[in-house]
Amino acid sequence: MSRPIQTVIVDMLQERDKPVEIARDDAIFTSGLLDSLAATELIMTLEGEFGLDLADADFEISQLDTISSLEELVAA
Amino acid sequence: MTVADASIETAGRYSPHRWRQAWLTIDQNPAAQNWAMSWFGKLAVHLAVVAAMFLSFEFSTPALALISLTLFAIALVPTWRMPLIVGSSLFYLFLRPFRIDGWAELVRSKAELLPLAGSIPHLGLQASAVFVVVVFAALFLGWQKANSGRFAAKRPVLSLMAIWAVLLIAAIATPVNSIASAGLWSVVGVFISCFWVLAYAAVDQKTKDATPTLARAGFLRPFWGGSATPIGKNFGYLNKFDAENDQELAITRLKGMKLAVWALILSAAVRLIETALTDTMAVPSLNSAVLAHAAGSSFDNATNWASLIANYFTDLMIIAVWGHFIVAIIRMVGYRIPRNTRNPLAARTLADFWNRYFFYFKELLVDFFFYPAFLRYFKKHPKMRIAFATFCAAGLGNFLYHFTRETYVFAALPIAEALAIFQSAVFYTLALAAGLIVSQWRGAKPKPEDGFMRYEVLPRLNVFAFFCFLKIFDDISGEGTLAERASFTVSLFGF
Repeated sequence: MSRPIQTVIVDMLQERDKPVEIARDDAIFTSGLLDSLAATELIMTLEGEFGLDLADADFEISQLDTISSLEELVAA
Repeated sequence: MTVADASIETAGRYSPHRWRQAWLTIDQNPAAQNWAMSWFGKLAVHLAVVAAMFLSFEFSTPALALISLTLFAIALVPTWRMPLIVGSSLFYLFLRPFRIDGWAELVRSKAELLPLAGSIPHLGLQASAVFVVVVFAALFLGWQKANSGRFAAKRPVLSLMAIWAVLLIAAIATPVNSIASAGLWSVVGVFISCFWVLAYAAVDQKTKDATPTLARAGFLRPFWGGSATPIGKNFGYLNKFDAENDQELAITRLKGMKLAVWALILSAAVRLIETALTDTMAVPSLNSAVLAHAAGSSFDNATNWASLIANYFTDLMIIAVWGHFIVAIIRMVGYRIPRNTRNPLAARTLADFWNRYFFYFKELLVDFFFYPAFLRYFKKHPKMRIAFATFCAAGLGNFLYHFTRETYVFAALPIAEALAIFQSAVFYTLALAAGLIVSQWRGAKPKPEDGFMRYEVLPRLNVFAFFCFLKIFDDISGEGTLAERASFTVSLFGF
């Protein structure tokens, strides 16, 4: 069973000793909270844990930037 | 309180350390924030930024005038910010459409062949090319929005790259002394100068960013200047950092002012160092040292080493100066974007240095090359997946960025001869990609518990040595072949 997206992000923040208080619309990557290497880890989690195929041309990387857009992506 | 205590307190109040702290935290000071919200404060902050730009001598008078007028106009009529940004950027594009002199010289020489040569033909040719590119951008972005289901609209950067390639081939194939040749080369030059800003605009259209298409089409050469790398990307990115109220705007502008003053200080330091190196110590630029070696009249080994090391530090400072000024201007507009350069000497890994040295160029390569490759290839092999995506960004994308920017050389040289110019750039980008791949594969970052030498010293020396030597091959001018640059490198060690 997959974890809620919020938990995935909080876990990633915790692993990197970053503050874990994050609102649903806070920028995760553009704010510098997590870097592009963490983005690759998140992509692999979305593929492995949530079964998403992000190679589709409709996907845009900015969709990874907030918890709310990630939730939309997972729900789609 | 004794007289001695009072004098100590007074001395503390006026100590340079205390003033420095007050300056560095000025954006967190509520009194300073309130002051920056007042009309007098707004004027003073704007004047300070303009003064910093003027005193740095980094800006031409027309550029300084355009930037200052736009910033003052935005402060005066904030509701008109978007039209002012677009209008000013469009004006700047018509005035200075090319990012590098090679294109401007090519268009000037092509214009001299036109039948209407006499008055100011190259400006007419240049303006016509800008008009064509702006109209094309509006049509392309409009088409992309209306046809979002089509493959070419979903992969807009690939589509734009294909259009550029067709235009370039057409320009090369057209008879040299024809009006068509002059027109095509001018359009290719303007198009490639605006390419990455337009690419970000096209990608933004796939997101929820609500910027009007016409505004995107007019924003091809941001009025704050810079190279072909869009610092601040485009409206989609800028809007994420937009100040949402007067207090946030005041904080953003205070941060902009601080950064502009820091850029001025760095700029003065660069001038001092360069003067000391060239006038007092007679240390040549790295390129001069390489070319002298290639010509058989090499400087002595100590001078070559000094040139190599000095080049590394001055290059870092030069990038920081103009990046800081551009970010400061963007912050004055109200977008609190991250810095372009952020203490690169603190980097302990090659990947971290790359991130800190030129953030928006790294972002360009990551956005347009790394992620697209990472999402599509070697998905079952994590190490290969990272390596290939890194190669696509730091190798292929990096080379393509510089190659496309310099394609004016094909107007004057046979194809094989023009391609030979890029040999050092090929080596540079491949070596950089290899270094970054190895750095990522090694994975383990240095930790404080590794001890002083293995945490503070050795990782930084490793980064310093790698980029210092790599800089020898960072050439796109074609002066000094790959073999000559390799020979210079080996000669540093006495071979």
